[in-house]
Formats: sequence, structure tokens, C-alpha cells
Amino acid sequence: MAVVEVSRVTYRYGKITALSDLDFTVPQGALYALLGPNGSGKTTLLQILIGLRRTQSGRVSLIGRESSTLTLKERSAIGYIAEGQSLPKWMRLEQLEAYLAPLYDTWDAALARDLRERFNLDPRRTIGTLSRGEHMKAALLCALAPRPKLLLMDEPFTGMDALVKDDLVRGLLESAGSEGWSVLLCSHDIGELELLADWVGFLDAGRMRLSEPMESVRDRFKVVELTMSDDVSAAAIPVSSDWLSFERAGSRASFVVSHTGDDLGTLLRAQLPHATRIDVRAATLREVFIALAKRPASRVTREVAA
Amino acid sequence: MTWLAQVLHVARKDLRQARWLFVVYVAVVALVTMHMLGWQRDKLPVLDFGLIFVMGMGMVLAASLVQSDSPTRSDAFWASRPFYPLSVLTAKVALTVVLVLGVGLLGQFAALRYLDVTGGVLAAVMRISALEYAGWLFIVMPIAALSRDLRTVVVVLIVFLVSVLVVIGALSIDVALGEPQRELLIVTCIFGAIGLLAYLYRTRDARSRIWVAGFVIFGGSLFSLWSPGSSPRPPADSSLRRLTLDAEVAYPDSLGRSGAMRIRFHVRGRAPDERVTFTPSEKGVALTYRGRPSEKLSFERGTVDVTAPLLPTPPGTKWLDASADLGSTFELDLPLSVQQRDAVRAGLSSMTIDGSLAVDSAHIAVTLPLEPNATSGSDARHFVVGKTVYDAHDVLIELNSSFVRPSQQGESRIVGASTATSYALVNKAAGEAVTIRSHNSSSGGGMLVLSGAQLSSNHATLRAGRAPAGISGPQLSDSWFRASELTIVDWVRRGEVRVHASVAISKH
Repeated sequence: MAVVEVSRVTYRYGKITALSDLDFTVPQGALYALLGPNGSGKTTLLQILIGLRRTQSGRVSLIGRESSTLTLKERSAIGYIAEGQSLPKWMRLEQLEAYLAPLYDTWDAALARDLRERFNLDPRRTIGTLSRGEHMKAALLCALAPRPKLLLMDEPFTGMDALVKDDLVRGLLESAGSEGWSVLLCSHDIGELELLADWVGFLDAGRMRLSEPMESVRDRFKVVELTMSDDVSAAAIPVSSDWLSFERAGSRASFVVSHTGDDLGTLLRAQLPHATRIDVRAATLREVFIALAKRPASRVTREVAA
Repeated sequence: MTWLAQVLHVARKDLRQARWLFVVYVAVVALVTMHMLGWQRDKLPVLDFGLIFVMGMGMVLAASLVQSDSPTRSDAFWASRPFYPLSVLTAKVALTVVLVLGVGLLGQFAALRYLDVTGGVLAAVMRISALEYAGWLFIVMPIAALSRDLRTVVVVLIVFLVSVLVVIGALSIDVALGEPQRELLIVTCIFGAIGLLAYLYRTRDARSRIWVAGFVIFGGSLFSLWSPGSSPRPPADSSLRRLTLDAEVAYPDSLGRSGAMRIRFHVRGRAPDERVTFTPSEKGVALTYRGRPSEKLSFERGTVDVTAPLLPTPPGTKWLDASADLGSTFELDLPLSVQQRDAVRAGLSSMTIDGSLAVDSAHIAVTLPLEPNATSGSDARHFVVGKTVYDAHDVLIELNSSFVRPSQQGESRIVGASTATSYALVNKAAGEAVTIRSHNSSSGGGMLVLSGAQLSSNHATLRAGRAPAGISGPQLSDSWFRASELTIVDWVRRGEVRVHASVAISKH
């Protein structure tokens, strides 16, 4: 069952299209990492999911129901954290907790206390005096304390030091696993996402270019490094349109390719007889992200051919 | 949490968040109200304009309440939490109505009661004040909902105000609404604003069409808040048809050196206690000459006091000064050019005069002992006796008065409002009375705590003449005056009747 279902959603800011006919789903229990370059529509998508923006066309379902028909109880099962989210600056942290707690039947005061201690937050400090990282920790505390079934997180690690981030990532992994939370997470911190996520999606210019389990991505995307014989320049390599992020330097070249199966080396050797060496390894999420974020391989191919 | 529990939950939060603004607002209302009640009346003239501070602060408060949980900002905290959107809005509206509007109205009520405004006038002023203030508050709330911060609200408000004024000026819009229509338009705009807010909180949709809707509501509200009220005529009184106007002229004897024709009028059918005024119509004098085209002329003077009956006093009271009743006869001069005078001398075949007679009845507003700082009031009027100076020929009495009337209504438009005031000193023990006249006076307008009422204040020096020994006239001792009461009489408009007089012409 999908905990998030987005169907043919379009959203425009005036003449600029942020999301274009977007379809995607987040399976229940998944820790879904949503990647995409700046301006790809990630924040807009999360704001639509939580109800901060209305879809201009298309349909959004959350935890099995059309988002506009969610009851308050159902909405209270969805947590949201965003980098630019404004918390009431005049409130002390303890006042903010007291303000939010009655809204949730599931508010866990012990978890809130535990998170406060783990994040080293003083409950008597006003939100306005917190640093950027502390502000995000407070927002995280408020989103996690109700033990949500679905957690939408937009750049939640902004401003956090490595220790806390690591602690949080582990905490999230534990909680998501033990409590069956579903998490949809946007972040530029791809290294953290790689540890966390079991699903990954890539949003580009308002369209979903990829959405599949992390295992599948790891299986599918490979980095190929070629070394050509001295008498053949790398410029003579017949670049395939499937190759992403093709780069060359003298007799060496590298690219990312999507291929399932163990025969990629064999295929490439047949295709590239002048290659003296072909190394194939699994691509990291960062390499996949960069490859997808760069211009399409077909354009690279055309430029190389010219 | 139930819907109502959320309303209270959000309201408590808002109250806590805006507590210092509320404290300052309540303090400003209290200061302005105390000023209206006489506190630092001369030392803090800036508080004469307290209405601006009160209503300005109220608008800032209403805007900050909305912006603390903005319906349109994409980073709004409440919108990503399980709140009923309309419970959030209801909390804002309730706080605005109860605390902002309510506190302002309390101050207004205290000031009005101090100024002896009671009954129908009190109810009318409070109703208009509540509607006008609510109108301004609910203009600001949708602007605040569509803006990012208070500074933007102020800028948008000023831009809108100037735009609407320019549009009204450019299109020469001059529509005077009747008071019921004006109030209905304000109520419609208030509900329109609340409807727009409800839409914004429910949908979070702030596209351009919403701005257009906001502008329409804003324009309608401003128009209704600023539109001049129309002038309903005094109530018809069929009994006034008994009044007729006779006129006579003798020419050429009536043509004085100034070149005007003196016409003598006589009002028939008036009761002895009625005060009558005559207002000739514009071009209301029709002259028909012999052998020349007829023409229509106007009198130079506007309204003329026809009669000034004796003031109401206890039965058996003896008036010590000459009777003030002028009777029912009066004269008016009709200015004529040289050609017109020649035409009149050549022969006048007929002459008619059109106009209206207005009838006022005497109503004792208050009686005051002739003591410094004696106060009394009724019917939205408040009087304070200042110092009293006794000298050989006169007794001078300083009298301060204030008068409150609902805004958008002219003085004569209120049923029961006075059109003129007369004064008498009545010594009940001696059974004697003298009329006194206003020696000099100065008057001005003022503001109360909220809009919806106009405050007129007046400082008059009343002069009662007394004749020293050996000179004819009332020879009154200081003790006579000290035992007297100042009686203030209002002339209350009963109605008007149109009159047409055919002038009897006699030629000498």
C-alpha cells in the first residue's frame, strides 16, 4: 500500500511551472529520499503534500485518503519539518510543546523530553534566540514527538553539526524501523540519505525522472572507467546515448550507465575493442544524482560527435 | 481537540502572544477616555485626536492577530499542524471583536455617558461606532492575510486609500447614502471581509482574483465609511398646514434709498409657544410687470426668525424684562437693480413669494444653579457653568457646553435635536424671570474615543442686564441672581411646511 500517492499533479507560480503532470508513490514503511537540483520542485511538492499549497490540477492521497478529505485525526498522523518553517519565535520551547501537545492524541511527552536532552535544547529558551541548527532541532522535536505515521522532511539536517546529524539519522532509522513510520525526505546531504533511504526518487524540472528502491538503484547504476590504447584517443570513443555524465581526459574516460546484470564488462569489451582496461563498479548515490542532474546524455553525445 | 476547544486554544495563544500590544491598546483607550472625561483637558491637546491612536492601534492589533497565523504564507506554522482552519480564524475574529472592538466601545460608552448622551442617541452612536470601527478592523484583516508583514499592511492600506480617493475624485463620485443604506453597506462589507478570510483560511489560495475580491470589499468599505449621509427631511406634520403667510408691499414708497423693496410678512395660524422661521426659496419671488416680461428674484437673506415666543417657565412667573415675543410679523428687503426699480415704478401687476415655514417647540434642556462648576445634561448635551461675574450693569455667566450627535447626520436631521438655544434666569422663590443673551461664544468640533459621533463644544458668555438705581429696567440684586436657576431651552424642530404668498400691492 502506498502512503503517498501523487497523480498528475501540476503546480505553477505564474508562468513558471514547478511541477508538471507529476506521478509518484511512496510505499508504506519506506524511507524515501527525494533528490533533485535546486528549483526542481521538491519543496513545492512537500508543501502540497502537507496542505500548505493547493494543487492546481491532479490528485494527492496521503495514508490512503484524498488529501483534501483527511480528517483532523488523520492529519495529526502526518509530521512536517522544513528548513524555512517559521516556529512561533516568541514562545519558549516548553510553551511550544505545551501548545502542540493537546492537538495530538499520540503526543509522547517522554519522547519529547528524550529528544530535548539528546539535542541539548533548553526548554526555557525562546525559539527566537535559537541558532539555525537548534531551530531545526526544535522543529524536529515537534514533528517527532506525536509519533507520526508519515513524516515529510524538507532539508531537516540544515545547520546541524555532524554529531547530532549522525545521532538523528540513527534515531530516525531506528524509529522508522521499529514503529513502521514512512518518511519522505528531501536533502542535499546525499551521503546521509544513502545511509537512511531504502527508496529514492529523482525530481528534475518538475518531473520525476526516477523512483525506485535504493537496492535497485545500486544494482542498476554503474560507473565505468575506461583506459584506451595509446594510439586511440578518447575522442574516438563511440559514446552511447545511454551513458550519463560522460567525461574524458587524454586516453581515459568515465561515465555512468544504467544496466542490470553482470555482463556489462563483457558487453563493453565487445563494443570498445581499443580499450586496454575497463573497470565497472556500483555507482554511489551522489554519482547517480550528479549524472541525472547533468544535461541529458543524448546532448552530450551530439556534442562529442560534433 | 474539539473545534471549540481549538478556538479557545488558539485564542489563548494569540492573547499571550499579543499581550503587550493589548496592554498598550487598553492603556491608550483608557487615556483617551479619561481625557474625554476631563483629565488633562488643556495640558494634553494631542489626546483630542485620541480617536486616531485608538483606531490605528486597533487596526495594528487586528492585523498582527491575523499575521501570527497567516492563511497565505507557505511557511505558516499552524497550516502544517492539525488545526481546523476556521477555528484559527474564529479565534482571531473573536479576539478582534471582544478585545479590540469591545474595549474601544467601552471607552466610547464611558465618554458618551459622561457627556450625558442617553437613550436613542446613545444607542445610535454606539451602533454607528461599532459598525464603523468594525468596518475598519475588517478592512485590515484581509489585507493582513494577503501580506507578509505589518509594514506591507501599512503600505498596502495607504496605497489602497489613496487609490480609492483618486478614483472617487477622478470619477467625481458624489453619492450620498441614506444612513440605513450606509450601515447596510458597512455590514455587507464586514461579512464580505469575513467570507474572504474564511476562504483564505480554508483554501490558502491567494491568487490574483482574491486580491481583486479584496480590493472590491476594501473599496466598498471605504465608500460606505466615508460616504456623506443624505439629509432626510424633518418628519411631516400635517397640523402645520394651518400656517399661512401673508405679504404686502406699498410702492414706490417701499423702495428705499438702498434700492431694495421692503416687503412686510405676517404668519397666521401659529400657536403662542411656537417658534417659526421662514426660508424663502431660491428665485422664489415672482414679479409681473405691466407691459414688460416678468422675472424671478431672490432675497438676500436666507432663514429669518419670524417669532421668538416667551420661554416656558413655571405658571405665574413674571418676566421682568420686555417681552421677547416678536409677534408674527417681519420684514424682508428684496434687492432690485436700477432697471428693476424703474420697472416697478412703471407698474407692478402681481407678485408672489414661495418659501417654507419651519416650526420649533420649546424644550427645557436643563436647569442649572448659578454656581461655578455646576453641571447638568440631557439629550446628548452636557453643560458646565464656569465663573460668574457680577458688576453694576451686568451679570456675566460663562457656560461651557458640549453636544454629541451621531456622525453622518446633520444637526437638524435628528428627531428631537435642537436648532437653536435660548437662555433664561428663573428665580422660583420670587416668581420672576429674565431672558439672557449670549454675549459672545466660540465653538469647535472634536472627536470621541471612536468614530461614529461628532462632538461639538461651545464656550459662551451669557449676559444678563440689570439696571442700576434710577435707570429703567430690572433692578436685581446679586442675591436675586444667586437664588436663580439658569434655564437652557432648546428649540426642537417639529416640521416644515411650504408656503406661497400672493403679495397684496398697494400704490401710493
